[in-house]
Amino acid sequence: MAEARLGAPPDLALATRAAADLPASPTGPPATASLKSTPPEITPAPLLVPLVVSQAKLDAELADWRANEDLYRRRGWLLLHSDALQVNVGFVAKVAVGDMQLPVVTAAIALRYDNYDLWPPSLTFIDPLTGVPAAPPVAALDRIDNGEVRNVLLGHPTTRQPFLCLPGLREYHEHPQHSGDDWLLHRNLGEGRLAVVCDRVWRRMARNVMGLQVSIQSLPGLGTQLVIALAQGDVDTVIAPA
Amino acid sequence: MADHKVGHINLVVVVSGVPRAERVELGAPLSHLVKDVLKESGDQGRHEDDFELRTEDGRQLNLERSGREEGIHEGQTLFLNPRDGAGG
Repeated sequence: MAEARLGAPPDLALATRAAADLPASPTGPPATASLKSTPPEITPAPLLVPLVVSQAKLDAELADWRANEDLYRRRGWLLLHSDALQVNVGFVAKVAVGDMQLPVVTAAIALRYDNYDLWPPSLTFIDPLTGVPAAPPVAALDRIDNGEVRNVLLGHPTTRQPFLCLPGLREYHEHPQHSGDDWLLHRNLGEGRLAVVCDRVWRRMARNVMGLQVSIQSLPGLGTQLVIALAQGDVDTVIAPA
Repeated sequence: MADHKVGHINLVVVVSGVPRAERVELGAPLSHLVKDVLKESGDQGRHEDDFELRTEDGRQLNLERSGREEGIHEGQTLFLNPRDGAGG
């Protein structure tokens, strides 16, 4: 049994830096784009699936969402916006600040379902207030089977935006290093479904957010820097002190 | 309501976003539940190892253990989603 870790650095080698500072995964594609880059130029997608088909599929996803809305709200999943082919979702975590548990939006995403499900959905991190592309304040951390902690929030060489390097998302399947892992190999598992994508984002970017980390650094020539960041950890190994 | 005589309980399993009512035997491995759910949801033939079962708070359940061993209780909601592997 893991010992209590509150008050000590949590177990996931925590993301105490802004996502923009995070390196690429050791086994993943290099972060060739800055995660703070400017919004991409939008190129209209060619119409490969009739609009009504993609819209009907997204409508079905939203109907399922409404059936589970109370459950999702308890998880901190908030539907911010939806239209014909896009859904915006915010992920809220309760962050320990002293004796308080402050709700914080740790990630917000826009999912585009054009040409769905011939294409997987496209995920863009956004500012939850304005909807414009914005880098999230946390990493996307998960422990894989061998115990290694991996950050799958990387910079995409094509879109120049931060993206989740996970199957089921358009940016993953369009990445030149994943050309051998086609979306059609994943489609039948439902990996592009709204609830599945949200579960993957939530586990890596909200569920594991536990508190704040504050550090002060004083270096010759650089002066004194105060850094305040969200701390992520392995919540399954944390035991609250008696 | 739980049927205590035979150790069955009623659950809701949200399969990739679709809620399904299920009745399970508490003493049976959770892999049995996953097999049944996949069969009923039209995913028959898929291996349960391609999926992961989690509680509402996100704790992953061991499919080799029984519902009783994993602390599953009457009326609980579980989430069954495709396993996403390592990524990156």
